[in-house]
Amino acid sequence: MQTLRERLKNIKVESNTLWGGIAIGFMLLLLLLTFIDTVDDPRRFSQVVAGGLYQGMLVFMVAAGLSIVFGLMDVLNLAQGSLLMIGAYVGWDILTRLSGSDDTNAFLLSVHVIAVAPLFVLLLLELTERLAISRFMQRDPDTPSPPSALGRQLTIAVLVGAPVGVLVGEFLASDFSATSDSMRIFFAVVVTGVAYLEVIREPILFALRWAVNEISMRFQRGLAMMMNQEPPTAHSVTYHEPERTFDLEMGIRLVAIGLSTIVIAAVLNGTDPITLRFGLAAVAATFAGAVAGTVMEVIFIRPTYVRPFFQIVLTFGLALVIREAIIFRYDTTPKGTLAEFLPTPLQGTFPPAELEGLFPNLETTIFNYWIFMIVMGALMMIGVQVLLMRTRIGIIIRAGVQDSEMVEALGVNVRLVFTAVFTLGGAIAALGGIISGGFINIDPILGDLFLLQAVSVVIIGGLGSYAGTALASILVGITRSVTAYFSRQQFNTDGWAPIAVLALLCIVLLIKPSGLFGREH
Amino acid sequence: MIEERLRRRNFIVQTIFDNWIYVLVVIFLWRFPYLVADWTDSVADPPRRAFGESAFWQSVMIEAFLLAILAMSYNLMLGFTGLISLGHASFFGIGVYSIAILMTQYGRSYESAILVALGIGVMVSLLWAVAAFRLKGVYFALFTLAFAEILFRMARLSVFRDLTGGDDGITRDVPDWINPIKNRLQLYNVTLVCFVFIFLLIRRLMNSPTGQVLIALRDNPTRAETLGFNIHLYKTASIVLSGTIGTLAGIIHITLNSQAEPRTLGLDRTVDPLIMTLIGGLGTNPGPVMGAGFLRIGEHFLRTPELAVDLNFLIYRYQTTINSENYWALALGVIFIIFVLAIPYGMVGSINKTWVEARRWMRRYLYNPLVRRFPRISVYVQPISGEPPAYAQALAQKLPPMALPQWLIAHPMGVINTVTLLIPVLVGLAMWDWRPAASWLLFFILLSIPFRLGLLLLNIPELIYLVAVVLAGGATVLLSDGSDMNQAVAVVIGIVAAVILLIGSIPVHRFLRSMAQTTLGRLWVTSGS
Amino acid sequence: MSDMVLEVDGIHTFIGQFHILEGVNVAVRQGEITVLLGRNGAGKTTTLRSVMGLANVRTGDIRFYGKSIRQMPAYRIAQLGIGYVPEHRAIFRDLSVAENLKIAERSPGDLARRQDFIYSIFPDLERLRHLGGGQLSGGQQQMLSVARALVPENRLLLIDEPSEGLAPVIIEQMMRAIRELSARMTILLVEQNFRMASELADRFVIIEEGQSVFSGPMSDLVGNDELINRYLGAA
Repeated sequence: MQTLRERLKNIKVESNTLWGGIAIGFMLLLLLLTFIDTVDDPRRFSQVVAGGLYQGMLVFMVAAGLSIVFGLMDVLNLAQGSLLMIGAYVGWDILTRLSGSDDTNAFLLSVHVIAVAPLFVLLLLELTERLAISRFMQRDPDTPSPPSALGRQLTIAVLVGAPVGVLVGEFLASDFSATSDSMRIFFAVVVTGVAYLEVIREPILFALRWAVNEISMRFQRGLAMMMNQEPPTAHSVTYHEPERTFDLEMGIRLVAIGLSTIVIAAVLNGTDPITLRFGLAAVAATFAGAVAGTVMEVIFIRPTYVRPFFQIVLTFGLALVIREAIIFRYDTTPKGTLAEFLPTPLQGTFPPAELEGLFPNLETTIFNYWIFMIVMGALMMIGVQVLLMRTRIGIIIRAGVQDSEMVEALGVNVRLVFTAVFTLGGAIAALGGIISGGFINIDPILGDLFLLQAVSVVIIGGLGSYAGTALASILVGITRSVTAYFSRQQFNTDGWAPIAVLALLCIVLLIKPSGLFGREH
Repeated sequence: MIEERLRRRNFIVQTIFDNWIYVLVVIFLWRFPYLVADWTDSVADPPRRAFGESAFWQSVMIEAFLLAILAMSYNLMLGFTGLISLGHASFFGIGVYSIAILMTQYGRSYESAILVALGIGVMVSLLWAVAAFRLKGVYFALFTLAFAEILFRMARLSVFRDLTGGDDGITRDVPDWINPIKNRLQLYNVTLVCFVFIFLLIRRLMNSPTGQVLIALRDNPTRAETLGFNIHLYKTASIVLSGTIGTLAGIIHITLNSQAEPRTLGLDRTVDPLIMTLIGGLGTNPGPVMGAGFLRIGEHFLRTPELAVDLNFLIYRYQTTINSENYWALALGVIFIIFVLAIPYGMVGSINKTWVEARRWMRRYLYNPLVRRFPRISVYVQPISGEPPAYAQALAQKLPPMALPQWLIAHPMGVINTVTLLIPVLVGLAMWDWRPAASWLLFFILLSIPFRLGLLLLNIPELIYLVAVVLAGGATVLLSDGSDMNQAVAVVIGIVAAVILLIGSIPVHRFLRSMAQTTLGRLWVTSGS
Repeated sequence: MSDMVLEVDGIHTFIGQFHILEGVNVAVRQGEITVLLGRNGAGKTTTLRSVMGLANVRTGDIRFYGKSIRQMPAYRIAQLGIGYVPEHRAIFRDLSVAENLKIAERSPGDLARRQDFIYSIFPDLERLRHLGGGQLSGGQQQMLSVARALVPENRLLLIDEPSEGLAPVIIEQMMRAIRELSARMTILLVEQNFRMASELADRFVIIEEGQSVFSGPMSDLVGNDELINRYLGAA
């Protein structure tokens, strides 16, 4: 018969669960305090909760890249907040440039066709592959091509073919309105098919391979010279004569491409130009962030992997340079928010007037945009989680966090994965930038503002722990909004909110430096 | 060594001779206000007067001294002990605010406030030391960053407006004997004494056994611990000393500016000493001082409105007017990044390194009869191990051995560069206008920095570099429309730039490579995280 | 010469400033098991790391099927068809067994094609497929570490101390597995356990203080007590 004491001893509380519980408990305590304080004003309470959530999600968008990069490469990228700022400013720039005139609408449409359509088509293609082809068609497991090689070919085909298909289909549809649908199908299929049938595929692939090889070899040689090593020997890239095949699989794929291009054309035709504009700005900002992240890694971070101390100093300096460059380009005056450029459904408050009857007791002033931010942040959280857990690159990243040398010895170009992680982090941060721009003033201290919070999140969550980062960002958001609420009530200022977050960071650092979910070193 | 010195009869004279360069610098700085007054002021008497050009230069130098003190304090932690601090502004700001608050709120005298302020500085640095017990590397850096940011935000809170004055800060005059308005020369001398004292203090400390333990702590903490040193004690000593000196810098700041504002706690006050230390030379004694001087005086020259006008003339296409302050901050950031990437040991460290390297090279090549004297050819075009290019080999065979200077064969691109460079000078002479030449040269030099880096990283043939520079230069000439005639300026600038470029054609990567292999560099690499 | 898989030709390797290998020659022939022998710290592991491109080789040459691989980055060397099983079983503790295998895929479907073969050699792994790498026992981790090198199409396996810290039963199992593998591919082995080495290997190379001092067919070494005592200590 076990005594109670022994039984208690046998319950092993995982360290993760314990600290996660403490964090959640702390959060609930804060919310409870707020709830007690606002017990006769549920509207205020819901505002505090939603405010905390959206702030947490915005911080998460910066912290996600920071955390993965920190875990994988031991680089604390103090310029990550600046990537968010780049996103916000690029978005603002594009939105103000494109505002107003009618000409921009046509421009917006075509840009969407070229930039967005291929992505949708690829998505649909992937779904076709997963749901239909791989399930119903038997493949010989020993033939060494299926999804990936074909996928790569198709990517090129789609990137070129889909926009052309949509544009041609649109053009013809406007001329022969009676036959529009069939014409659209026909031309979309034909154009993408022709594009696929290797008029262009192999030369483009060859040129890409050649360029990538050339640049990387030059870079490696230069680096080797600086590091006093012998330069590596050159590898040549050969041109493969394409195999022309057309079978049932290909047919299914082409039909899928054609159908999806039509759907896109129809959807785009029916969409509000304001939404299109905002979508374009978001895509452009994300792209700018991705480019900035990549450039940062390749030019600045890569030469300093062997000198970790200089790396942190360097990113610190990069943050300074980006801030000053933005001041140089855009001036120090705040640009205000992007609220006026938002699509109509995102303006206004929740619940909308038509649904007022459904929630008779809930008189709330939660902005729709808050909900949008929370949803986007949650999508990002789930997306990155899926990427890390389900995809090959995710496995590589998780393995690389532990032992990147061994991953390289297995035949993976880890440097490329490092760069890809920086790209991804930059893209997410910049997307966070334009999303935050919808609600927060765009000014040159935006970067520092988010950087400090994101760093707090990464440290509180624990080095390299994705779940920790996600939890900690919500914790930080709630802490901020609850503190802001009490501070406003007591002192008539919300200046205590950032101080509370930083104090939380200091406390966590002193009590458990490895963070909630981090491993002890 | 010491015994030997003591055996000599005049120890003081010997010390002065050993450190003659420092003695000269101190004498120069001591006489500096008088010299400046002689150079700039028209009235004969007033080297001590509180207004006018010389007073202005005194205040510039006082600021340079206080920045140097701050940078030395930073270097003590970062360069000598290996503790990354991203919150040094907190010491500075504590010095500033302690004096202001003690004098206004508690009616303390200036002198007693200094003592209390230093005490507060010591206590805060003890708090940091406690954090340093538990936190290492990046984590400690983040703790300091958060700490300074908390202080910064606290100082701005409207809740404490009665105490700190919120965003506006507190203004408070200091007593007459050191007041910068009434008695600036006195303040100058006091600051100079503080500066020299702290320089000597840190120099003495780093030459003592304690200093050697600090360096060991930076290079290999584990080994220092296993050798039996109480690393916490040494870390504490370093942090407390550094914090106290940082507080002193803050005290000098409020004495000079008689105002305490939140900006003195802000991130910029951390960035400044960091940049100064890195540009001057991390872990060297004169490095931070040189960095501070470079920064403060460079800032003075680069922020003048005349320069902004000149720069407008170059980049007017992008912005109609340049806020020269922004321009300086941006330029500073870019300089900083170039230093971190390409010259990580700073001015002093690189000079030391180059000197060592040059002596080794001389030993190896000049005095060794077995080494073939034919120089390596065309660094950028070929990988290091490659043969000299055919044209150079052919040239070398055709010519008699000493018909041409060897550098001409070794660096044909250098010659071409020089010729290209002389073109605008000639054009300038012909047009009787110095502007095209000057702008071309400026562009050339500005461009050559990123291009050199590009060459190093991507191994691009130098021809591309040349073409780009020529294009840029041509564009600059087209942009310029001057009427001011000064061909002498153009010739002088041309000659200077030609020398710079000739030096630039010497294989830079060898120096960079050797820099990456200094002892300091290896130590940083091995001690990292 | 045509049956040479790997030729290591007088390499000098540095770790930091330390000159670790001072001229090592190793020749590995097609279809054979070659074993590197030597005392602790002689440079056996560094030799494998040099071949794999993970160490700084200053001079000398390494050829794989006649092609020089000395300057290549590690991932390219691996892509040529060299599998590396490091010492201390460097498996990924945060990944499941299946993911540990999946990460070694060089082209999609590698694992699907070969998992029957892998699980036939190491039946335990199939049962433990969904467990985390950190939850495995030492022997299972070692099996996973070898299995990981079998996922892609490898022509040469570098195995570093497969018997290190394992129970005798597991060592037997490991030896059976390696023997089974040698029918399919060439193997370069580092082994401290002389009994295991002598039973498995066809050829040996002795490394002493960073230099390869002796090599030949295993039969030369087995009876030669003087050589064994001199270079390997008591056998």
